[in-house]
Amino acid sequence: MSVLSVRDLIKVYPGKKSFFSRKEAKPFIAVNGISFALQEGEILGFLGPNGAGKTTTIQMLLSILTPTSGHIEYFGKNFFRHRSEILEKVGFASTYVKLPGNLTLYENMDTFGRLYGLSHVQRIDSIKQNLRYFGLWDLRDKKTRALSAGESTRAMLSKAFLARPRVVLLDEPTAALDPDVAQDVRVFVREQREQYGVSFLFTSHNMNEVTELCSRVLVLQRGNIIADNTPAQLAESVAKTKIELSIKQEHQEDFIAYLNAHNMPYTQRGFFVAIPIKEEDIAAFLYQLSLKGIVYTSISIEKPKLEDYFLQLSKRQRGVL
Amino acid sequence: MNLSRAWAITTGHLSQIVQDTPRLTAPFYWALIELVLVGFMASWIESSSGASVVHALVAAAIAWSIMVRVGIEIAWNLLIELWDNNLINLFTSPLSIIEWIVAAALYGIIAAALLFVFLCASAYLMFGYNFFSVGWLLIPLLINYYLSALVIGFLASSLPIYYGVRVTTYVFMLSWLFAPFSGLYYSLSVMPLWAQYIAHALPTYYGVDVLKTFVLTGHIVYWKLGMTFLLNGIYLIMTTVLFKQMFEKSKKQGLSRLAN
Repeated sequence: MSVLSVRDLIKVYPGKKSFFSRKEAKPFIAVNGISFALQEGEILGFLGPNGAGKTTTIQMLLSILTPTSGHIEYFGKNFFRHRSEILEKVGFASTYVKLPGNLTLYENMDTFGRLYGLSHVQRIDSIKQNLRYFGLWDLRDKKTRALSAGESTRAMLSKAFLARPRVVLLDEPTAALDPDVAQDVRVFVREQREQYGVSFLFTSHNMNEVTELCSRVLVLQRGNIIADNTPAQLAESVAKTKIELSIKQEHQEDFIAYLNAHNMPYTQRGFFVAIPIKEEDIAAFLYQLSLKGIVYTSISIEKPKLEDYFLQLSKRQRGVL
Repeated sequence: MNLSRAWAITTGHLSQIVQDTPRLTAPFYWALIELVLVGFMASWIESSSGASVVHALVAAAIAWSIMVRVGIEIAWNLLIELWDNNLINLFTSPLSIIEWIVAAALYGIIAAALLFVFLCASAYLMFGYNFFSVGWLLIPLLINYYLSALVIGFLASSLPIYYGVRVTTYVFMLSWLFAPFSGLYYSLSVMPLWAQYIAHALPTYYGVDVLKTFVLTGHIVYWKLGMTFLLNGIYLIMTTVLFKQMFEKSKKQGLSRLAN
């Protein structure tokens, strides 16, 4: 069941002269008619180089930016008609957004708990539970302006999960966190999905994180969705798995002859020979080597990474490729 | 419309102000300075010309301070949200702009009540003027000063909600826009005719004039009291719609661009 459905979403910033800046801006298509759905319990990655339209889309999904046209539905309801009712069940956190600095962490949580419709008792329970999980309970009486960048990010995450949301939009949530805390956040995200069926729309520049968490990834480029696939398949679309073998000196000649006979490209570095190969062909390849009596002394398998895909995408956007 | 969400914003603003001494003292300080300046100027005029103007001008100073200071406070709350980059948090929550407007209005009641009590006590101690001597007229007048404060507040807020904190100076300029045309400390007749026309279109003029006339003559000019209500009602609708329209216009460009 889809909890979020987006159809033909368009955002065009019209070109006009600002009264105060006196600069003329050209019309700019930030999002160009994208459609997608987020399923219940799904962690959907939202990737793309800077300026691809990720943040613009998230802003429209949160109603802080009005789309030029298109439809957004949460839980089968029109977002523009049922905004407040829907947002009670939608959490949001971004590394780049902070809480009011003049209030204590607890006061901030309490205010947002009330905005999300929690009762007094629910607020006490939820604030305690979330602040404890994110290691902030001891800082509850501290003004939020005195929190470190990592603590602020964790405070935003606490706010996002305060009202037991069904959908959470996370914009680079771990960008300012130490690796161990970032890992805790990933564990928390998975727990929320497994225990409560929470769905996530997730942007990150950490490709390992996206690979680890997301079951599906949407790739945006210049306002268009150019790919919708699993992280593994996206990575494989730009690079093959590479197998590197250390071949015994007496078998090297036979091995190279075998590769040439089967039109298999390779690179050689001393005793080491690296061969790009499909993952599912590895077992058969190694079996053939054993039949030929070719002995290898070490083996390493390098899978393609989502980062390879992203790097190629960025280069394409910058016109390098 | 959910009143508990609006009240959450109001109490959030109150909590922030209570913990911010400069912010807490500023409206009281500036209102007191105005009261002192006007009071002593009126005392000097009274002692040199014999015209009995102290109580009327002190009353006018209190009325204007409530209107402009509470108006500025409402706009200031918005500026604080902009400086804190909190607008995104607020409007990604279920809070609607109507609820924010109601929150500002609720905050205005509390600010106006506190300021009124403070200024009444100060006027009594320094100039022997008892604002409560106006009797039952106090209630309609205070309601009108509060409504005028909302008008000033929403008018002044309509710029930063679209242009952000870079127009902070305009917030203060807009807040004082009505002052010269409201005949606060002088008769309307000393103003040029075109300025008098403007004054007759402003609720602040009628609100202050009813008070001054009562203090000076003991008479209540009912039609002017009625005009204050009528114009405040019209202006409040206009400025609220203006503020809401500016908010919607701002959302077309994206609220995140207002981040400080």
